[in-house]
Amino acid sequence: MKKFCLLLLIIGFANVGGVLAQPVSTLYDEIQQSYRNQDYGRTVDLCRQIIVRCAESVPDVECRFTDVMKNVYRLKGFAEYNLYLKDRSIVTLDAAILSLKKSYELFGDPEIAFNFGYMESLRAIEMQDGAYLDGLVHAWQGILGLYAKDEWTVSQELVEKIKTFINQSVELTITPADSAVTNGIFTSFMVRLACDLAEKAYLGSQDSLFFRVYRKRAVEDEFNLRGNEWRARGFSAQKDLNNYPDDYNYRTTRRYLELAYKHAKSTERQAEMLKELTKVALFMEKEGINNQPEADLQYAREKAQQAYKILVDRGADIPLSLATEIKKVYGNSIFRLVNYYFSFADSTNRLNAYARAKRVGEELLVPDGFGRRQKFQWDGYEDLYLRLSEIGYEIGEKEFAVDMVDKAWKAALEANALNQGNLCAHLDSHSASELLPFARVYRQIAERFGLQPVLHWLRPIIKCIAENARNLTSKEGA
Amino acid sequence: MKVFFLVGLLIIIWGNSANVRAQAIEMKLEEQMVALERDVVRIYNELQKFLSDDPARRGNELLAFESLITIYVDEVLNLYDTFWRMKGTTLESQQNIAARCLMFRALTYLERANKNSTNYAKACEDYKKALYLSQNKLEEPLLSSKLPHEVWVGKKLYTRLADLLDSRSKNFQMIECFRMTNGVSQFGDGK
Repeated sequence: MKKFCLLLLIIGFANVGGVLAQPVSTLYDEIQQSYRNQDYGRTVDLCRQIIVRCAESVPDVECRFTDVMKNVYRLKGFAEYNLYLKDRSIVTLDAAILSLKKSYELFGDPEIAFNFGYMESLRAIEMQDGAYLDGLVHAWQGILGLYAKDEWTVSQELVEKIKTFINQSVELTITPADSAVTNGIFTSFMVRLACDLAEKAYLGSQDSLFFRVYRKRAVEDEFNLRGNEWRARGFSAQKDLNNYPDDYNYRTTRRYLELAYKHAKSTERQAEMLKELTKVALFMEKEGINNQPEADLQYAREKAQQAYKILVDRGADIPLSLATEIKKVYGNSIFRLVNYYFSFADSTNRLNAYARAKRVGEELLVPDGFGRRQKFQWDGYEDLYLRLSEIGYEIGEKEFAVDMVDKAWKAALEANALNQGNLCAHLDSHSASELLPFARVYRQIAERFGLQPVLHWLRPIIKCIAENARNLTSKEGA
Repeated sequence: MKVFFLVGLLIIIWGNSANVRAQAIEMKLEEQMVALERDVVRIYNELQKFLSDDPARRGNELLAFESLITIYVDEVLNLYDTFWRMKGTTLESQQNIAARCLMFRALTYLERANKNSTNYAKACEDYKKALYLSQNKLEEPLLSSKLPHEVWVGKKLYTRLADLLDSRSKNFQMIECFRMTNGVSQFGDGK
């Protein structure tokens, strides 16, 4: 066994010795051959060997040839890039960028500058780091160098490079909102410069259209980075607000989201920002820190109303999930404001407070489509109806109160998947406890306004509901 | 006799065509210098737009603008060197283009002088080079002559370099370049 190990060691040394014995010129030929054969792993390995050999105290003469060394680093860089395309490891991409930079330092080939600039931007896109602009600068340096090298003419090859550059610029600007910390002026300017340069060439109709479209977007829209940036800042501030709910964070979040709304270019973005503003104001009211609950709730209602108006007018532009959320926050903001005024009635002008609550609540009851009963399906309707029926009871509006409590009752049955016909037969404890407040308010209203037939069918129902609900209470108590 | 005449004619024609070719190359290079200067001013204008848009914002974009203007000014200086190598001398128009570009780069460097202490030294270097290049026999000095392109800083329009330097209180900072060698400027650390 020992002899075998010794033999292996000898073979290993012999191999190492063999490699070391190889002159740089031979290794260089091998590199070119292996790169041509697309053996990128071996190419990188051989390049490393040359670099190590050239770092020795007495290196081969080829190490002093710029042409050799720039190619060693160039092939190493491209081989590493090809390896990156397979393994998608940022470490490999970093190595490729470094190798190409080294090659550029040795010779200053603009083609190389374009390539490592491209890779740097690619890295930024992969890492979702929209603030990293060096890649664009380096790639542009390469493009300008190639333009000068071609005696200030723009070849088709350069046009393709410019298109790549523009695509990357745009991709870099639409990295996720949280990383959009630049304001887009630089990128937009670079795209305009790129379009100007490309249009010096004779362009086909497709290319011409490409550059026209991107220039237009860059000039008018600046890739919506203003909006993206404020949105990113808004969401970040919203996180701070959730963690530390204070007036400063609230004001900051609101300001950023309002700016994001102002700079929003799409209907979807506008609706999204209005929805977020509603949520933020509702959150603030719930936390009760700034002691302006009415102002916050009114603000939330106003923003939700605007979002809903966008949904009604231009619903085709809004995705279903966002539409559902808008309806939800609109319903919540109305309900919370109704509740606020309702609770306010104890300490101030009662009738005035009830009237306000009624007026606010009715906003949600007005249908906005032909033949519709209500604005939209919202899972909080039964509570809103119940609250409004209580208001009707308090202000003595019989028709309103009865209508609301009837709607509330039906909505509550529907929410619990129950049928009034054989209610007691299918009632479980949980549903009973849910239905009990509705039934009680119904009875109150029926008693106050003398609705004898209602009381007639309601009494047995209340009895069975109360019994089932009591079961749940006793279970929980036990 | 006829042969000598023909050979002489050919030499004259060849010499002329070479001369025409050289002139065409020079024209093309000068054209590029003018185009690059236009781009330099464009970048400077865009930078000012960026700075006035949100004064609190600096960082990566400002650095990117600085790098971009550096690339362009280096190209202009390369062309200027090419002219020098070709003819052993340069025209006043070429000197002025190079000087103006250097001046814009110096002003760009100043925008980040607070952040990067070497920027002030770089700005001074460009400023001195620009003044050296613009030493000519014209009655009107370069700084006072009309700029070929408009420069906008915020909402103000500038048509002369002197106004631009004065209005932004940068002229005095630039004068400091001559006063100090290793002294301390108001920007950053000691230089």
